[in-house]
Amino acid sequence: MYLTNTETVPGKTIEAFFGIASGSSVRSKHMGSDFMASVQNMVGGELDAYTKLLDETRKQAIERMVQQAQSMGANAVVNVRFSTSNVAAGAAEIFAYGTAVRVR
Amino acid sequence: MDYVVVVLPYLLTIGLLVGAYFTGTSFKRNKLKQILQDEIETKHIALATFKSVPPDWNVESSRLVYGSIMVAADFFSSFLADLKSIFGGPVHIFEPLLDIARREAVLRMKREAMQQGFSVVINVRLETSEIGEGKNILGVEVISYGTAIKLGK
Repeated sequence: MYLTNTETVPGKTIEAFFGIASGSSVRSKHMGSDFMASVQNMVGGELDAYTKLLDETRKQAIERMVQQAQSMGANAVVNVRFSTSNVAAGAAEIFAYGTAVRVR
Repeated sequence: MDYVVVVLPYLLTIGLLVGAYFTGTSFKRNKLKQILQDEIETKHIALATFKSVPPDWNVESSRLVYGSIMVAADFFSSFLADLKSIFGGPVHIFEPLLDIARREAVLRMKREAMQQGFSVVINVRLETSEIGEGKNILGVEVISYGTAIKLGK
């Protein structure tokens, strides 16, 4: 599976086009690390737990997008975009979307 | 005895402000030092924001790469920013933190590209989003992503 955020897969030609493939994932952290985060909010700096959480969430969103693209018969997703939004306090949704294509 | 009860909350706040000032500044100073070092280490990876590969490039392989970081402002900075918002105008106090977050996100992306032997990342995009709600903003997440390219002979 080729993933790119450019309009084509560099060095390949697009053979067929299947439409939009997307995947999303919502996660929240347990209360313990929410508490740690509010402490960190005092201190300032990187919120490691959240960096990791959002990274995992993004990986899962990409995985779901890839699965959808595969079920369409595609072997690449081009022009991949991400968006992050807050669903509730402490829960974040990550959405990944792109165009499913077959390249050669 | 009574005045201690009255004064204590103020003293606590001042104590927290002073503490936050030191922790916040030391985080920024140390992180910046590390970023400057890492930037030298990864400088052979070229970044570009153009959307497609120039036609004369011989592309061997390509792949999506990304890096992210979530940072929070310290209490001292947010307190100063709150004060500043009474009068309006530029809030310079957050600029170094966001600068550090962006550069670190880019570095993490570059490192991912480097580990897999890519030499160029094109169509680099930076996105910033707030995590948390209303007054309970936890921090800001910065993500940097692009298409890594391996060039053939």
